[in-house]
Amino acid sequence: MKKEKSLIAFEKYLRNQWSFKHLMILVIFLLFLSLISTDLKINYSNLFLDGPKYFFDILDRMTPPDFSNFSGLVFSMIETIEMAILGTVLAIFLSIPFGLLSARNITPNYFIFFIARFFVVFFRAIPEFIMAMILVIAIGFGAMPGVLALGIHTMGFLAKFYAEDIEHINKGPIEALKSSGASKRQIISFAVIPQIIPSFVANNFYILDRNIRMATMLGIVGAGGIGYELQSSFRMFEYQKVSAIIIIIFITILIIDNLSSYIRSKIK
Amino acid sequence: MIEIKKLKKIFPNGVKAISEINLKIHQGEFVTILGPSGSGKTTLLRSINGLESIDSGQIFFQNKIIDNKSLPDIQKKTGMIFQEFNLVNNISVINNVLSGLLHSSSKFLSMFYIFEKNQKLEALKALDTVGLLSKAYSMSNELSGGQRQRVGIARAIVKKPLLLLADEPVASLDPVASLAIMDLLLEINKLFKITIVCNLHQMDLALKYSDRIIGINRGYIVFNKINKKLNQNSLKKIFN
Repeated sequence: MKKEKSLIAFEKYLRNQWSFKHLMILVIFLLFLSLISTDLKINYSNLFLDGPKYFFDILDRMTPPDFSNFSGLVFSMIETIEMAILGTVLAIFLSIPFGLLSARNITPNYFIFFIARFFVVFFRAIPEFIMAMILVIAIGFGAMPGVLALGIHTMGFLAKFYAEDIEHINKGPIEALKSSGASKRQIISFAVIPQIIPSFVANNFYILDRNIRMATMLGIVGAGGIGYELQSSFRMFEYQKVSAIIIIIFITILIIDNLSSYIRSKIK
Repeated sequence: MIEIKKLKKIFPNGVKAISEINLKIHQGEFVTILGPSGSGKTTLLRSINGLESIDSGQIFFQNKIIDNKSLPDIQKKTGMIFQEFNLVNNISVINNVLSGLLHSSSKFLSMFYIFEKNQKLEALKALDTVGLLSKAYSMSNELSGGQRQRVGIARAIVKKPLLLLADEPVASLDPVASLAIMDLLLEINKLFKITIVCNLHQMDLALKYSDRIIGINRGYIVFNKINKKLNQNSLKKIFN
């Protein structure tokens, strides 16, 4: 029978929890952060010395919130939500073909895959804010540039999500259909789409949720909605109206966020 | 019905799946390919219906060589059953069965799950054959393993194939469900005169259900005998 070994026998296997290598990585990382801060001329002391004074000054000017134009603000908020819905629908329609063509396992050939991926990355790389600024110049003020900017930019996101989902589906059903002589389009319809439907719906809701938040910002560059009201109030130094708008945006996003999370959890 | 001549297959990573195989399978037979994991039996089966390309050799189906030109026609006459069932989870049982008829359906309408009435009736009949008519409109992911394999069989027989390829059809099932599935395959073989080539690694099932057993190991045929002429020594050869 084996004897129980003494703990001392294991001492030779002990090692330090943190090695010199770990310490060096930490030092290099901190050095890297301080170099970035120096390059950006960030003075952290100002944040604590002058920051609180100005912060409490603006907070004072923002209270109490001015809800005198409540119905007008609600109307603008609804316009923002409508803009986000249209933008999301546009993104969904645009992203379905791009998602299918940019998924490695079902793209017809490498050339089409490359072109589709290029557009997906390109539109994802240009922020909707910049896209809206360009579109406002091109087609004028109003909701249209906002809808287009949201739709085109988030198409890049959705197509990427769809492509990744398609690339990770169970290949068994595809093989089963292939073995019985089904065409590529039939395989997509029968074996690919049903497998990605739950994540498809969840992703679309996530993008809608995100687009509502972004649509409030787009008004600032002249794309209509509550953002436009926010920008106008800032320019007129009507800070009490600004705080009222922020409260309305906050409550709306809180509701949308919870609703979207609830629906997504139900789908999963 | 099937003739395989000097078949060879080496995977890109250098693994020799089939060293050299010569084989004949006759109409109406229930043939079991018996061998341990990695013996090459799955590659052999998948080569017959074109899921795996071959390096050299020839495979004939009804005296017609299997190549890119003849493959679509041969796939129409062949059904396949998979170890992991390979069903689409988020669609109904009947739609899974109907997917076995996609080759003969309208390319456009079938994309929207629209089939002819006759095709739907054939799917219901196939489900009845496997004893799952009552589950036709259930979702596939609501079924047990044994039931899912029955749907896989219904999908394979709905097109009235001449040949049924079954790749380890009971490997993912419990013993009771395994026997039920093997009984069903035998019934299909006798009732519809469908030739069955079944990959198995269980000796008892192979002896109980097959007309002929082909022992395979390391890509070679070790024996090819009528069931009754087999003895334990022959069987042990492929597993040792």
